[in-house]
Amino acid sequence: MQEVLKELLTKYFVQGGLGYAMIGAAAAVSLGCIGSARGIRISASQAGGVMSEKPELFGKLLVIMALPGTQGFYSLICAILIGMWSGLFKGQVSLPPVVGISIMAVGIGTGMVEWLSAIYQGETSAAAINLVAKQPDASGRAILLPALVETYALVALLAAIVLLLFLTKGVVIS
Amino acid sequence: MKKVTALVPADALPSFTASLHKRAVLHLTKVGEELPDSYRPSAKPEDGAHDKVAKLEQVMAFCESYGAAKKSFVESLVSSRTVARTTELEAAARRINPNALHSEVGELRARHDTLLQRMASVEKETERLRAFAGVAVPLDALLHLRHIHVALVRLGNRAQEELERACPETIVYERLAGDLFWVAFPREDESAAEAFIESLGPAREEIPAVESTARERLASLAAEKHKLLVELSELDAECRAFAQGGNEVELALGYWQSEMHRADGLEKVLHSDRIGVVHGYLPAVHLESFSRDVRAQFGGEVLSEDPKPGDRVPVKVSLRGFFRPVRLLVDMFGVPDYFSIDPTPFLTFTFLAFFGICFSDVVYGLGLIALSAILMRKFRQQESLRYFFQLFLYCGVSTCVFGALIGSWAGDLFKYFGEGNVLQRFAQSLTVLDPLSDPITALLCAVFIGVANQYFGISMLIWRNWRRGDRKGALYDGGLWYLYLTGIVILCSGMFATLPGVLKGVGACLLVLGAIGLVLTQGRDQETLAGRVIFGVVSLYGILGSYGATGFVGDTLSYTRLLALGLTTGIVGMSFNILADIAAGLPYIGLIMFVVILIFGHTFNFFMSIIGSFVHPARLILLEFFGRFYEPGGIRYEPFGFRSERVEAITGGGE
Repeated sequence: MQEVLKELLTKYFVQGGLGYAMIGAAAAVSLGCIGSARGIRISASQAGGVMSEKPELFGKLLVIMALPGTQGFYSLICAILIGMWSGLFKGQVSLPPVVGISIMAVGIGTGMVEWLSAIYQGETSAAAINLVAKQPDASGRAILLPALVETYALVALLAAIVLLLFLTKGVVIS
Repeated sequence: MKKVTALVPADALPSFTASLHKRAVLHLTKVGEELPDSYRPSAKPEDGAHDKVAKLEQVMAFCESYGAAKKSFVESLVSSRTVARTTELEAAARRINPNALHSEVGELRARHDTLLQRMASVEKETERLRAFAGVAVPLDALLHLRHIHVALVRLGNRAQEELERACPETIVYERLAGDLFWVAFPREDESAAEAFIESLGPAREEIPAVESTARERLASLAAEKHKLLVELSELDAECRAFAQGGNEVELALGYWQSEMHRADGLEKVLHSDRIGVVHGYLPAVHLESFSRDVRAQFGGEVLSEDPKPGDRVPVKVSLRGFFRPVRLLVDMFGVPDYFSIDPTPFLTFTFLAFFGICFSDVVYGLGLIALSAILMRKFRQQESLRYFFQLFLYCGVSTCVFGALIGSWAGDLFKYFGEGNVLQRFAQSLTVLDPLSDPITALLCAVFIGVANQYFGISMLIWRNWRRGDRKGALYDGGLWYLYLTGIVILCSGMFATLPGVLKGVGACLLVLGAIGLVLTQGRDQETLAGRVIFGVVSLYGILGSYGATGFVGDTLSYTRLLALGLTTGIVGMSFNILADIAAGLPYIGLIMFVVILIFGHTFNFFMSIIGSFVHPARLILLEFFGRFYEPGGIRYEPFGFRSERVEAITGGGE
């Protein structure tokens, strides 16, 4: 068992950097999804309170409630790209450890941004839900407020795509 | 819409407004302030309508709390109103006496509150006396001992240790329960004993003044509690019986709500001693018959004109049958401005495509079609619910199409019926792209859809501005963005694929031309030249102006969620297939378990995925697509006629 473990560690973390890339992908998707779950908890709790008084607003609140869920998808896209471009999904790969570590940093960094921005977006969504509760006709404008926070989750994804493109340019997938 | 002003003789005004209410075509607005002060609002036909509505709403809330007019889960998804004939509404309003019902509800509530208070008091006393259950003498007697003073104290851990260590001989004590202690001492040593007890810092407790023993009192409290429970149960049954009439109360409430709105509407109608003036908006199709009736029946005259920009014109959206269900999405965002465009027909196919991509499974699509058809039939009387399920029926068709294109049939269920089976061959013959084996192509497809939909949004903006006669707006805020963004798209494509040099050159030219045009035009409303240039430069980024490079990139990447959701539906379905296949190997019950897991798993996946598949495409429409051109903030067309928040009236009284 110990031998197998040693062999795997050597293969994925010493001779190659695929293990680091795996950690990066896992960190990106898990942090982003945790953030989305927390963000939606915040917005949905607020919407629940509003709908207890005004159930007719369900339609107008549904999309605002779901906005913080986006970061989960962005982090999933980031993880898929890490998996694809590092050769994780294709088997044998020559990924130098230093590139693997860099990819891990990209994954963790993106995951952190997605995590925190989802929570902040949940808080902004809650504020937008309050706005709709008081002025139902302002739902169009209200939806734009939390969307502003999401811009930075997108910037992080975009940065991740560019960095991954740069880092995996020389990767040879056999 | 036509802006109309109807002038009728003052004595014909009541019959004219009654006729208006019956026709329900004119959206009333306040008459302009240009009329002299001698014009005053028309008298309200039913002054008590507001009061009756307030009382009936309270009665209705009471009935609903006891289960009356309760909506099913499906009905609660869309705000739907009860449908009733006008004759039923009038009959209910005649039968229901709001004052009497309101008093009855008040009395029932008061009785309920009294019983609950008595119950709380009994429970509190029971809780307090429980600690004294072991005391054999009447508690009241302990308060009136001639030579001994008895007290009840709560002591903390440190005080208890101090009591044990330094208690004077004249004081006796005993733990009653937990940190509660009896303390007794002779009355002649009262001052010294009290001083010692005080030094312990206790919380004093009063001995309950009960004439019997605690056990006897507890028994009588238990009996009282039982009696109260019986009374509460009887009252509950009485309330439920009362709530049975909730449906009729709702109809009466609908009637009085309409009367209330009628009274409010009549406040907008002004009249002098000789002339009555009614002002509002009318669909153009009704203008001729309306004018004819005003002249012939009431001896009046109608002045009409086209609405002008700046008028607060109500919006009546008339859609053909196919597009009507999709109106639901636009209603989630808000009514469009009158001088803008109704986006419903333009978002219909994109929304359905997005839903289909997210849900993308042939079997789920067929299930959705069947379920929607059943629910449409069930709720055929309730328009909003019927349209809601009709929208899902369309979505089901789209789901089947995209499911077939990506080869998803309840995940990969066809693989479990033997290699090369008919279903597998048929599914594979239809498959165009498998996102699981080629996620990058699928991702690029999602991004391409995003780019296309953003271009579609810009086209809508160009069309909207062109219709308004704003040709500069169409060119500067639409056409130039086409050039600039196309340049960005071409150059960014170079990051993923090798492009011919010519194409790169074309991209660069478009980018530069578009950028120059935007810098020169986006700040055109600024007063100074420097202001215009700075505004124009910043608008390229996207903080100011009609669009921006960051907005475009962000909005486009947002469409990648289509891939993520599509993958999720497929992968979860495949996971249940694997589980079912494992269970199929069990002896004796293998086949049953295989079927049960498949049914349970795919039903679960169906309902979980359908939520995300609706919400996220709706978001892409409302945020990313509408953000390009849509102008909400219109006023909904609400003609002066029957209007209730709870009831939808249909004309007639026959069965």
